[in-house]
Amino acid sequence: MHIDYDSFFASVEQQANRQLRGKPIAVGGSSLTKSIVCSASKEAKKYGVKTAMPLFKAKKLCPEIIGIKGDGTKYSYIHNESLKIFGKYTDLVEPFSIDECFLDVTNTLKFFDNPINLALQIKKDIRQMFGEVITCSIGIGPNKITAKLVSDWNKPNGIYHVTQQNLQDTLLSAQLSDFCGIGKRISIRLENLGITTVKQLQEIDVETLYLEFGNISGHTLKNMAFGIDYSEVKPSEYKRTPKSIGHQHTLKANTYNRQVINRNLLRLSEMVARRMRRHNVVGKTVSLYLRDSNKLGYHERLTNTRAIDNGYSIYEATQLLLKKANWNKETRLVGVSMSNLVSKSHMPIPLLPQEARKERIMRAADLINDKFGEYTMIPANTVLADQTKGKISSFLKHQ
Amino acid sequence: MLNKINDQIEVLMDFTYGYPTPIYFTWKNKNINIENLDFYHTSYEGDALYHHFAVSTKTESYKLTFNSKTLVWRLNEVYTDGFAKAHTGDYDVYNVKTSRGKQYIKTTKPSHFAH
Repeated sequence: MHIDYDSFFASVEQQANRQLRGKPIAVGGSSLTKSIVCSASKEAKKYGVKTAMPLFKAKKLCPEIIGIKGDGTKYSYIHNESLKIFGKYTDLVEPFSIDECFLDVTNTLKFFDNPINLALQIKKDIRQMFGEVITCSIGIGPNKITAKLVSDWNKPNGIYHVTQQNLQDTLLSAQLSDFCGIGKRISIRLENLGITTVKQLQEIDVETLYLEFGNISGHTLKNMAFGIDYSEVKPSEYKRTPKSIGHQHTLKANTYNRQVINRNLLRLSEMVARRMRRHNVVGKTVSLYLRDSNKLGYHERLTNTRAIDNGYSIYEATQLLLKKANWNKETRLVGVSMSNLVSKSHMPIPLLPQEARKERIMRAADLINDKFGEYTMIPANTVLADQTKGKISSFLKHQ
Repeated sequence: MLNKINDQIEVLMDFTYGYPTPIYFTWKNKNINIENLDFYHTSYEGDALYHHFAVSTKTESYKLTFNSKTLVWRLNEVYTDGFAKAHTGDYDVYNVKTSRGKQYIKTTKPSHFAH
């Protein structure tokens, strides 16, 4: 079973503010003039407003659209409470994103007449818990790939049930891009092989897919076309180590000023380092992302010999990358990310006194921020940087 | 229009149904009767737990916050744009598509909002 909230951020804002109901709204970032639409209400969607569209474009399509600044605390609360609701029906609940979840109800289905009744009961619980505006769509299928495929098909507030009887018809009525895992790039590569429909993917020789995508991805694509998926629903207690941790920030105003860029890079580096310490990981590869006023991006990475989780060390690496880039364009967006992450428990304890002191200072600052709130203790030279909080992405903080 | 306010207020709460429901609050020496509890959520700032209540009267929406560490209520936001349309919400209609075709299932509104 795949559960997906409808226009999640927008419907939460409409639930929280009765006066926004029935009006076109778009939930975006802190800068409502330069940010993108994270979620549009169904009234806004009627005008053609879509997720990830710049807000100024949304305003052109729908002049009366209301821009709302996202509030991550509401969304993370609903996410965590939803996991509790789903936990009443099965212990196998896998959060897929802040507004999506997989449930394996194979063992608990016997307590309900049929899966539709179970889905209706979950919908009723969600309505009782959060109110009438927050709705979800549910896809029910024999495995994750089919449940995810059909959960979007009956939106909003829908239920779609795939059984062995209607599986083939369901698959054949799907577009290739409807499948989770087939994005733009894979679609283009499939098109180059002459595959534009699910039927063609079912019929193509598996060896051709192996040659183009390799054995594992080729096999997965072939299985996908027949609605076969052996992946299990991993319960929410199963915590994956992140592969990378990063933050980006659109500057309040485009700038050539290197000081402003550096301040924001230091602030982002500190945010990345704080999240790494929370996950108890250290990383070797530092990536810098810059976007100029013409929205052209620049990306560069550097791999250190030593793994780090210190904000200032990450910042120093971004300075090297900035120097290498010889960047002198008007800057609109800056981003820092760390990858090549390993568990900190695999790392040696720092022996040099200055390193050990840095570590102690970091721990003390983390304890203070845990007790009194984020940004209680920050490096002095980030005070003048834009105040980015990155709350939406930290939705699992208090899980 | 959204007005950001950070005034300390007094709130009368009802715990009859096993969950907190604000009845009215006093702001600038005026008692404001709450018609609806629209949304409730919690958040942390450090180790301080905040309870947020989005409530509305016939004409306005308010956001109230209770800091469980300092035991202080604050009025954070007032929204006075007016309602787009009456939202009755007496029942839900779900689209259900199964192998037997499309059906519509109508359910009655739950008796209590579970906060």
